[in-house]
Amino acid sequence: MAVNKGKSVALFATCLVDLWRPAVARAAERLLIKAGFKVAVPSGQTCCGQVNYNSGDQKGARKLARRHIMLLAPFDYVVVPSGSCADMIKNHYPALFGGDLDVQKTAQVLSGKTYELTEFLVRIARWKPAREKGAKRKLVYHDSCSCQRSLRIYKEPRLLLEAQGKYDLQALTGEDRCCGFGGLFSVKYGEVSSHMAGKKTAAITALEPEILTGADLGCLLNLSGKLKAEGSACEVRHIAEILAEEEA
Amino acid sequence: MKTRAETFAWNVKNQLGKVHQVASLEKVPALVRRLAEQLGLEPKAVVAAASDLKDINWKGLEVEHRPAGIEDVLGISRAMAGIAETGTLVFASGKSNPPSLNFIPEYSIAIVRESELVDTSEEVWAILREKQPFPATINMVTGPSRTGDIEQTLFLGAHGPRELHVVMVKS
Amino acid sequence: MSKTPLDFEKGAHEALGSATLQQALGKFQTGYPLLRARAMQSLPDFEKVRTKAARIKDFSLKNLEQLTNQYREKVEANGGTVHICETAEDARKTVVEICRQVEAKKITKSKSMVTEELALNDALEAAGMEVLETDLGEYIVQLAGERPSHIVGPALHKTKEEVAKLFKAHHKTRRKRETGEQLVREAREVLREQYFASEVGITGANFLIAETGTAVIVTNEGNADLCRILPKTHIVVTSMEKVIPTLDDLSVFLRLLARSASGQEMTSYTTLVSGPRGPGESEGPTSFHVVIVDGGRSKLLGTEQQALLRCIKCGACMNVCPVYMSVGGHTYGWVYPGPIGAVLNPVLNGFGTMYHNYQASTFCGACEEVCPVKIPLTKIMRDWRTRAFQERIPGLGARLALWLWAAIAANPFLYNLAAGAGIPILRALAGKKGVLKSLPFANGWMKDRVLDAPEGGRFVRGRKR
Ligand code: SF4
Repeated sequence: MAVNKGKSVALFATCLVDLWRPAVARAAERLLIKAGFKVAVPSGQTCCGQVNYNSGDQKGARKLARRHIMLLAPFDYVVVPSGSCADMIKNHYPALFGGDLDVQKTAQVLSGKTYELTEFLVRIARWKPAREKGAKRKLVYHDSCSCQRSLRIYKEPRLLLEAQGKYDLQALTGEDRCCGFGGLFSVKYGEVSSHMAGKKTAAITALEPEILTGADLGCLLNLSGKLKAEGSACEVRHIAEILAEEEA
Repeated sequence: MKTRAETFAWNVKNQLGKVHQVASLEKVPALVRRLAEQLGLEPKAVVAAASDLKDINWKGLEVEHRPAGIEDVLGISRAMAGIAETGTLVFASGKSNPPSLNFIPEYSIAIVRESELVDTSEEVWAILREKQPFPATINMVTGPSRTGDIEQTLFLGAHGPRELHVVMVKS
Repeated sequence: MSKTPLDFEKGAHEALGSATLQQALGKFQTGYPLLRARAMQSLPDFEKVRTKAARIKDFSLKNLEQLTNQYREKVEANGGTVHICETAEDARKTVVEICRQVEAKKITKSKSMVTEELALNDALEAAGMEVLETDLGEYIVQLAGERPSHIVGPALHKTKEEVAKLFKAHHKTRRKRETGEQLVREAREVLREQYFASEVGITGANFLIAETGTAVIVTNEGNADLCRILPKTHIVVTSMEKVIPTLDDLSVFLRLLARSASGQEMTSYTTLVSGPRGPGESEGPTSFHVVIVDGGRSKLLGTEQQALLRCIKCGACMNVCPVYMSVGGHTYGWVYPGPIGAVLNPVLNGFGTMYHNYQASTFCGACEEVCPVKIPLTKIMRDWRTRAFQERIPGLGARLALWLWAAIAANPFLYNLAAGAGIPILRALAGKKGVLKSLPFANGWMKDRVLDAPEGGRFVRGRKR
C-alpha cells in the first residue's frame, strides 16, 4: 500500500449520489482513505453533463464538462462511484471538445486518470477489504452497461466482494442485459423501462437474495423501485456501502 | 487433425445433411435404389447430364437427364466442389447442370468426388475465375431447405428439398 | 417529410400488453444468444474477421462509384441490365415498367427489406399485377396485411394458431392445420405452383460483387432460387451500399452473416447470380435486371455516420436489444426495427417522423458488441439526438428543461439552493416509508415502479475543506 501513500485522489461524487444517497460518497471516501490515498472532494462539483450529452444538448454538456475538467484535472487520480459518469469523463469528455484543442488535451489527460471506484480499488490501489467471518448472506451483483461494456469492468467488484467473505455471490441469468434505467429513458419511456426492469427483477427474485448491489446508483434506484412495487424485501445498496461496512 | 473429407462430412451432418461414402461412381445407382426404397419412393430420378453421370449404368432406375419439373420427387445433381469449412456443396449452372435439380424435388442427392473437396470458399473462387464465361448461376448448398418462421421452430423442406443426401465418391 | 413524431409509446403500450407477442419475444430472447454462441465457437477470431469486414465495407463505400460502375459493366457484359435509381419513386417506376414490358400478371417475390422500404408490392398491385411473397414469414405477413416485425424473421410475432387461421381464410381448402409441419407443407404446396405460373421473379441481394458482376442472395428456404430459376424475368432489387469488390471479400462476409443472423455457420442457400441464363442453358431467366436504389443513403457518404452503411442486415443488433425485446418490431413504425432501424430510419424517412427511433434507447451497447461490421450504433443514435436538438425537434419544454439543468448545475450556488429546497420537499412527499409513488414531470417512472426518496443531507456541500 506504500505506493499509494500521498497520492491525491479527487472523489467525484456524481449528482445522483450527492443528492440522493450521500452515504455512498461517504463510504467511497472511507474506502479510498483506507487504501492510503489523500482524498479531496473538489467543491463546486455537480453533474458531469451526461444528461444533456445523451439528450443531444452538446452545448449544455460542454458547459458542465468544461467546468469539471478544470475542477478535476489537478489531481493524480479521479475516482467516481458510478460506471456511467466515469465513462462520461473517460470516454466522452475528449470527444466534446473537437474544436477546442487546449481543453481537449486536458480532457485527454483527465480521461487517463479517471476510474470507476471498484476498478480503481482493484487495478490501481490494489486494495482489498479485510476478510470477515460469520454466516454468508446471499447477494446479487448487478453489472451496469457502462461498467461491463464501456469500461470492461466485470471481475473487479466480484473480487472485492469475495475478499470480504461475507457474501454468497449468486450468478444472475441475463446479467449482461440492461436493467432499463438509461437516465431520462426511464422517465420518457417509463412503461418500456419499467418492463425491462421487471425482467431483471424477475431474474433477481428467482435467486431470493437478501441484498442487491451494484456500482451505479441509477440502476439501483430503478431496481429498488421495481422490487418495492413488487413487494420484495430485498435490500438494495451501493457496493461502496457494502465494502465500507465494518464488523460491528 | 481431421482430414478434409472428414471435416466436410462432419459439417454436412452438422447442417442436417446426410452423408454417404462410395468407392466409385459405379456404386451410386445401387445406393440410390436403396435410398429410394428406404424413403418409399419409386425407383426413378431426374439426373444432371454431367458426362460422368451419363456414362454410368443406372440399372434398376428410371433416369432422365433434364431440368426438374413440379412432379419430380428425387433429383440427382453433380457438384463442382465441396467446401470443408462449412459442409457446403457448390454447383455451377450450365448445359448439363440445371439448378432446378437442387430445389424442386423433395429429396435431393448430390454427388461430389473427394478430389473435388477444398478447404474454403476462397479456393472455389480461384477455380471459378478460370471458367469463361462466369457461370450465370452458382448455388452454394449447405444442408436441406429449412425455415424457422413458425414460432421459431425448425422445419425442414420449406421450399427446397426436405432431405439432402451427399454422396462422396472416393475415386 | 412530416415532422410529427410517430407515436412510439402507444405502439409500445400495445406491444407490452400483448401476451402472445411477449411470449414470442421471450422465446427469442433466450433462444438466439445460445444459437449464436454455438455458431461462434467455430469462428474463434470473430474480432479479427469483423474488423476485416468493417474495413472492406469502408473501402467499398469510399470507392462506391467506381465499384458500382465496375459491377454494372460486368453485368452488362453478361447480358443483364443495371438500373440505378436515386429515389424510391424512380425505383418503383423502373420495376413496374420492366414488369409491364414482359406483360407480367403474376410475380413471385423473395424477401427483400429494400422492397419493403419502396412499398413495391403496392406499386405493382396498383399496376394490376399480382405479387406473391414466397418466404414463409413474408407470406404470412402478406396474408395478414401486416409489415414484417423483424428483418430476418418477419412473422416472429405470429403464433401457429394465427397462421392456421390465415391459411384457412386464404387457401379455402379443407386440411389439417394443427402442427407447424402441416402449415409449412401447405405453404410449400400452395406456393409451388405459383413459381411456375409467374412471369417475373423479384429477389433482393445481400451483396453485389464488382469483380464478376454478381448478386449474392442468401436464404434458408430456397424460395429465392425458385424465383430466380422458374420465371422468365429475374429482377434483383437492392440498395447501393451492397457493393463489395471481390469474391474473396464475400467469403469474409459469409463467415459472419449466418452466424450473426440465425446462429448457423452458413445459411442453406447462398446463390450467386451474374446475368440471365448462360449459353446452352435450358433454365433460368432470359431477361435479368438489377435495380440499385439510393433512397437517401448517399447523404451519408463521406459523413461521420457513413459507418451505418456497412450494415449487412443480419438482425443481430435487434436480437440482443432489450428495447426491441420489449416492444417488438412494429413499434418502430417503419421498415427497419431495432438499433439499425433507430439509426437508419431517420435518414431514409425523416428525423422528425422517426424521432422516437433514436430516442428510445438506454445506450446499453449490446448491439455494438454483436454487430458483425462494428457499426457504432449508440454513437450514431447520440449523433442523431444532437442533430434533432439542433433542429429543435424535441419540444420546447424538453429543451428548456435541459437548458435549465445545465444552467443550474454550472452554478454551485443555484445548485445548492435548488437541492436545499427540493430534497426536503421530496422527502416530505415520500412520507415515513421514504418512497415516492407519483411525481409531476416524472410520472413515466412510476409505471408499476416507485422511487426511493433522497436519504437527506448532502455530501459535497457543507464539507469543511
Ligand atoms: S447494424 Fe450490424 S448487427 Fe444490426 S443488422 Fe446491421 S450488420 Fe447486423
